[in-house]
Amino acid sequence: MLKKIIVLLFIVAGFISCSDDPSSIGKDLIPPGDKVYLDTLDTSADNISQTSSFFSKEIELGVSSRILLGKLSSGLESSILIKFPITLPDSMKSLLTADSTGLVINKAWVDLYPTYRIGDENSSFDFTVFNVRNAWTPSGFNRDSLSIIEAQTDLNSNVKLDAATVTDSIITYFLKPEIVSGWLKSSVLGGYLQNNGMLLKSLSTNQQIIGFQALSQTLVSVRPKLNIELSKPGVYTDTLIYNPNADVHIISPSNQGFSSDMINLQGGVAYRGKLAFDFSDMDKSTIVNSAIMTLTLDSLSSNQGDPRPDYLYASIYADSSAAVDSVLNTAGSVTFTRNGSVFEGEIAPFVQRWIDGVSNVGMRLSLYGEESTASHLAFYGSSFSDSSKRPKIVIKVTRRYAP
Amino acid sequence: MLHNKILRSVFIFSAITIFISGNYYGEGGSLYSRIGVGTPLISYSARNLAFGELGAAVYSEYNVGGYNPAGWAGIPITRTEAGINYNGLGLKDASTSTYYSGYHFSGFTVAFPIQYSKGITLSLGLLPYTKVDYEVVSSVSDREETFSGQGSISKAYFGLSYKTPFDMAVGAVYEYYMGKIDFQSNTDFYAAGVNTAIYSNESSYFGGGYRIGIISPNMSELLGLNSKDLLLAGLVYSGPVNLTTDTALVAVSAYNTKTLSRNLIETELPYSLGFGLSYQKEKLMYTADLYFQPWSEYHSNGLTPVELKNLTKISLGMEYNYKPGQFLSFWEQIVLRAGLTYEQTQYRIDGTDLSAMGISAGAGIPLSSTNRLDIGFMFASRGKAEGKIIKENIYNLFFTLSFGDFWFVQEER
Repeated sequence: MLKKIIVLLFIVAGFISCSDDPSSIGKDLIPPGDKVYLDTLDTSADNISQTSSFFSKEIELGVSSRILLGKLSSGLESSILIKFPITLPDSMKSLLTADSTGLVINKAWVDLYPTYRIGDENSSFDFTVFNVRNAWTPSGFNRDSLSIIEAQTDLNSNVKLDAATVTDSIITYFLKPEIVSGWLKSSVLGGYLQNNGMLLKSLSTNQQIIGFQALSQTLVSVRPKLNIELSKPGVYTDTLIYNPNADVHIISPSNQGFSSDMINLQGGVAYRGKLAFDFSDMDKSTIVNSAIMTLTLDSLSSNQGDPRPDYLYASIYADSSAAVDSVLNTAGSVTFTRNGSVFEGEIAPFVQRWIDGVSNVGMRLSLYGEESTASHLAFYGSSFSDSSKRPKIVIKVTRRYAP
Repeated sequence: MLHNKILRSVFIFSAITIFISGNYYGEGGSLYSRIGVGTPLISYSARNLAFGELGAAVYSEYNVGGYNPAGWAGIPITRTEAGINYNGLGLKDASTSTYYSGYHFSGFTVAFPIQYSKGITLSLGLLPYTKVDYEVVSSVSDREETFSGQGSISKAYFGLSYKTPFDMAVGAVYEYYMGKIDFQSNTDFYAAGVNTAIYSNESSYFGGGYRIGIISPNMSELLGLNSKDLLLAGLVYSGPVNLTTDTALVAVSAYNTKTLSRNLIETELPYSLGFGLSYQKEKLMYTADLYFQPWSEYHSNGLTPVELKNLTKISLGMEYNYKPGQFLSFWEQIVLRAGLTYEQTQYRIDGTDLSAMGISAGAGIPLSSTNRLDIGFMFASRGKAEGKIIKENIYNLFFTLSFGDFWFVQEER
């Protein structure tokens, strides 16, 4: 009997435990102290002060997704260091002799596939290919590193591409076979000039920069290639193909005369922006639901390249010293997306932290993938004469207390 | 015997687990629990619930959870008691209705009759005191606002009963109150990427109080009744309680949790006074009770909510009990109970004093010679669906298991 009663109780309990979802019944009984207040702030209309500036910052280019070569009319110049790992199949090694009679290098050439262009695309494009004499690594390679590179112009002293050729989907330049032969002998026999890659340096007459896929990217069809055609006289001819195992580009800065009332962002050099809004008067109970920031691009003052930059990157500064340029990693970063001439980003995590007491020394703006481009975007800054074009944040907030 | 021990262990473990892990509840409950420190609970046992929640003049032979500590004087053997209760709540306003339900811990108590002949019984336990449990969801054009309250205040107690030479029982209890109540306002936006805003008003309570009670000697002869009948009067008084209250207003954004303010304040709970009569004639016992608690004297940081006024409750109950005997069938051993209650509640909403009426019934089911399962059910109706006021139909179902052991029992020589 007891068991039956207990089972019955469980059945009854299970049956009556059904419950509706919460409803609006009783909302009028919620005391005012429990309620919240929503508001929308517009920095352009609500008199919230702002400041902006820009500065140059040497950045790590060894991690770039592109390598850039060329020179712009502004004086911005980029060079490439690239190295192909040259080895011979075992079946050919025995044929390689010091007098080059066993195996003959017929020709050697490099194929580059442009994936980026900036500047006057209808201009000619000339560069010199230097044989690099000393070892180098992409990691940490910078402008100062370039000065210690020993290079000889004995690979190809004058690669000239006319305006028609340079727009092709492939750029080809040839290397002196005897140098390439030396690299092969060095790898097999030792004692010859080691393969330390090549330095591609733009001529000063160029008015464009061309980018090629870097080692960090994996798209096979546009990967730079070194082709070596060799033969065993009278027996066979073969072509060996190598992809790079090291690359980096180096951009030399120039005085580009950027306007001070703009926020100038440029890749490679690089130029970054600093933008700060004053939220010190905000109620500390405020919760930021959303904060959409917009930056307006001055297309005429910009040199965008192809493909053009469609994204910006923003982080908040951890330190009041702009020179330190250190950002607060815990706040994450925000990506701004492009809609015509307007870039828009959701910076609620930044605004919330500033309201919560994180030192507000502004945010850092940079081009997304700034190490892989030479594009320049000029945004109207905080002191621009037309206030409607200045940076703006529209903030949706919830407050505990009635405003 | 082993079976009973296992059953007892499982039940007590389950009840304590429910208590520790919070109560099982739906996502809604009484909005009136937003007022003060929540809805106070008077009855902890299925037995008391079944005859109208009170019972100041009732001895507790099989139950520890009666609200008059003097009643422990009637406990002959060591008793362990634990319970859970089902709460169903039908809410109705002027335009809509809904139903919420859930389970709650209704207490764990132990009583040790140190000297039964003198009514000396030591009892200790853990009992719920108030409960806050509601959730209101309001949809606005671009968002959903949710206001919720969760939490409870419980009390751990220990106390003694004693029966004086002239057969009057007295009992006294020290009670330590503790608990946490959290009121939240949650704003969720329908649009993707718009962050939720949560404000949480958390209060932690702790402080001591006391409760005393008496049960008179049999007064039947004084009133010219049959001397075999039992007419008792009981009085229970709980002193006012000052609770130290640690309050914090916390804002929770998508990126941070920050404390906007933190204060240590005093919360003063008002005293309560209960008076009751019980009259037992053969198998039937009748009870009549009056309970009063001046919630108008409740203060939180010196302030009294305008919605609080004095609580007055009256109840009538009856219990049909078997006469102990060796050869009774299972059905003959079942105790039946019923009750009625009327309450001028402590709530004044929108200028209207709320009242409540309830009807209750229950049974005590013997599990063995010393163990018992009590079941109590009460249906009550509170308020009316008018203006801001909500009509509440309350369905309470209590299960209380009481186990007896012959500890401390002195053998007859």
